Amino acid sequence: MKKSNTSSFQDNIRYMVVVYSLVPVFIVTCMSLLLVVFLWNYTITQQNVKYNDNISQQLSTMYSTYSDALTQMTSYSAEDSKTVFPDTQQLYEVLYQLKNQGEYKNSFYILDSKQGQLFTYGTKEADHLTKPEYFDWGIMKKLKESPGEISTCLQDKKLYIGLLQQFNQQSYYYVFVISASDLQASLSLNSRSLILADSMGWIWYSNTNAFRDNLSRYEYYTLEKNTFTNYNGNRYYITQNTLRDMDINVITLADTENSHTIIMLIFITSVAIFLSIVLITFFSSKKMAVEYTRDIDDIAEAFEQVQNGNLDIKLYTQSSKEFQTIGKDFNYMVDGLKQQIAQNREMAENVAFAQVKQLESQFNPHFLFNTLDNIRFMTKIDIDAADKMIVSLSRLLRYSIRDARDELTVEEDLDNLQSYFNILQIRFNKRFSYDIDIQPSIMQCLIPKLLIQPLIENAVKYGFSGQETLHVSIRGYQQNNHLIFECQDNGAGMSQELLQELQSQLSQENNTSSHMGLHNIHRRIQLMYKEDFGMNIASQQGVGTTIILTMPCKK
Amino acid sequence: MHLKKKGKALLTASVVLLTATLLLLGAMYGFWRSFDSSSVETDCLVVYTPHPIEFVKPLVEEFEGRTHIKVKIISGGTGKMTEQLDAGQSIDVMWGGSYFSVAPYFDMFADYRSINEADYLPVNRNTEGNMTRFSDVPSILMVNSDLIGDIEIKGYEDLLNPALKGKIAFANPSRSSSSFEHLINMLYAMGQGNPEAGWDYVKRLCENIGDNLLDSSSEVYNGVTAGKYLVGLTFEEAAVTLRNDGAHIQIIYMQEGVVSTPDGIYLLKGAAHPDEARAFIDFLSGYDAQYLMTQRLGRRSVREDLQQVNDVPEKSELNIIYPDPQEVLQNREDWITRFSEIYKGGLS
Repeated sequence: MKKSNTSSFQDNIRYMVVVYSLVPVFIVTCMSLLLVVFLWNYTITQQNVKYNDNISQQLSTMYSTYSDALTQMTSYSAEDSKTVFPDTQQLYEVLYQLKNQGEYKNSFYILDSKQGQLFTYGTKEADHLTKPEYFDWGIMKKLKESPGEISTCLQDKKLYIGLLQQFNQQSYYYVFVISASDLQASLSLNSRSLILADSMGWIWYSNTNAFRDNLSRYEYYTLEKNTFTNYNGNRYYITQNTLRDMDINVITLADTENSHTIIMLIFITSVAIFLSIVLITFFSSKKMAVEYTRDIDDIAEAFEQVQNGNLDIKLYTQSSKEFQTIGKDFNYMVDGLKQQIAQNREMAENVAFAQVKQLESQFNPHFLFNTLDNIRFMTKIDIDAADKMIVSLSRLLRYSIRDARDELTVEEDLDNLQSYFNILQIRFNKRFSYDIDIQPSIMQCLIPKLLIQPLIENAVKYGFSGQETLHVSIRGYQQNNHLIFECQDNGAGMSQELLQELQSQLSQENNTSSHMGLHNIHRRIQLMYKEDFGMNIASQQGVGTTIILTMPCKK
Repeated sequence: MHLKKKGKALLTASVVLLTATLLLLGAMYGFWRSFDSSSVETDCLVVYTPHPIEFVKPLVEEFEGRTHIKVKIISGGTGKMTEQLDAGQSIDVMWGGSYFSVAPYFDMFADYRSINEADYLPVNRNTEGNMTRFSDVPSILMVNSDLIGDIEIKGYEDLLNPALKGKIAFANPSRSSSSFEHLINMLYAMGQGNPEAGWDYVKRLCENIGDNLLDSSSEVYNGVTAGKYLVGLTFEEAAVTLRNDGAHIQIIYMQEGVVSTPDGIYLLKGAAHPDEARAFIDFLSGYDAQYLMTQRLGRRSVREDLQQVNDVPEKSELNIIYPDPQEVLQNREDWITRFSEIYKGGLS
């Protein structure tokens, strides 16, 4: 398997699982968190702003109701210039109207120029209006500064709404006093934190102790309209609205500490869950990939084995229907392949055997004819020699037909060679000489029969051309594990062209030249012992020829 | 897919995921931090004062309502103002502190004469240039009228009555400026104008105080109100305020002599809001504020036109004595140490 270049199926599967499970989980986690934060933020801020708007609306309505009441009261006195101040019945009508229609609770005073109480409704005590030290203080001062106009003043946690009417060179102060408890009764409030303070931060009404300075003023009075802020470690959302007519700021506070903590917990939990999913996926995907691709690995391994020549491998893949089919078909296929290979080998062996038999059977008829012709002469000249030739020839013939075995020992072959040499010796007499040098150690080695004889035949056939004598030497020895036979003659040799032609023919399977004998030997060795073995030819014109046979050393 | 390519893709994916996570974390952190905006520091007139919050409240409320100048009040003892300045707190006005107690800071105050100087009693006018008088605070003896029985107390001499032993509330002059005023008062009153001659009385008084020397002026007047002590050496405002609140107490002006040291309002040199500070001084020295103070806050006005509106005896009815300011300032530390030694000596 070439792992270095291509990733495995297992890695791919794992990659897919990781990417296609983690990315959506991550995206969903992020989106959910953002959504939670957004919705939370929206809810907190919207509720706070809504409540602020509600209170501001109520206060505005209240203020305009009180201004209308003051205007109405002062108009009564204007109508009748003889009356110092309106008829008490008319005053009460207005006051009861306030009480009944708006459910507004208050105290009401009418003072003269010297702070004398002309009319009182509600709480009797009104130091801030009647005491001389307050004559130029707070609401009284403001009323005097703008006679005929509605003035408001927050003083000592009470809101004063008043009007100074100057009439017949007399001053009449009409003042409503609304305390924090009056206000609480007048407005519909809920449990949300609310602060009503003037522009300097002095508090009229408050149901929380947060955001107070050392004078109990609202401390953050200059903050922007809507903001998140921190007070003493608690987080708040603050909405602030200014009612300019009354010089009152409506501040609604949402304590976000708890929900803030919850959001952070959700966030931390989400991150923890996400990280766990990452870890679990990372390890489980590995395990899963291994499990789901085990059959793939087996299949890859089986193919690898087959490629390396092991056809005995069997594939047992059971994890799924598809893999079962693949395994079954693979086994079937390998079995078929094995049968095919066996048949092919058998057929090739048969062919080779037939070829060898045919090659062996090519006993040279020229030689037989020459020898017999020689014997006919010898019977007349030298009876003994003729006899020796007949014996040798008969040995040769017997050797060639009798021994059915493919291989025989060097010693046996040497006997046969001796017979052949005997015939040649007698036939050519002194023109032919030979020597044999075989290492005794290789005598028992096995070689194909009739392998060396054709070499001598070949030497005799071509060696005599143009010369009187011929010497052939046969040498046999062992080199490493190879058996080597050399047949060297001092004959005419071959031309360079002929040698090249011969050498090129040796590498071809079919012989087309006249040198059938040499080619047959080479072919036989190759068929029997495979490619590495065979014949080498070296020759030089006028010097001689050397033929070397290389075979495995078999004993 | 090619392994290298895939490895790259995996790497990219993890980098993207990591970055996204970090971004999300950052966003969350920012979201969290957005709440942590510290309290809003507004541009306002900064006033340092030893006066109680309840005293300054109505005056500041009215000042802010009239001028729309926001006032930030920092409360603290007269002697601690420099600590605030050293800590980097910017202060525009020092409101309170008697002539003797602010003496060490005179160099820090800028010259300013309020628009109301002409209406002041001549003795209270700003002759120094940087000390606008705010109120007149006589030292007094405060007696629990429920418990005093028939023990007669008219002045310092009566405090030596053995029947009062251990029943006299007096704070350590080194801790309480009102006690220091009393120390000056008794030295000059009992020494007939010569403070050295007064130390004999101080020694005898210490013997009658016993081991009850208190740490602050509030322990003195609260102790008398609560009945822990029969008589306390304190200042008029505390007693008047308590009496107005219904406490059963009697205010005794020492027949041997009463020292009434005015306290002041001081504009600090290098103030960040000098104009606002001047407006504040003008307001506090003005008729309205001084009038309210005499009626509601238990203090005597420094103005000539408000001398007869108090429910306390007029100054002319009292035996007012005037210590030599230079002598007091020079001997301040020495006298405090000397008192401590006498007190400790009396104990051992």
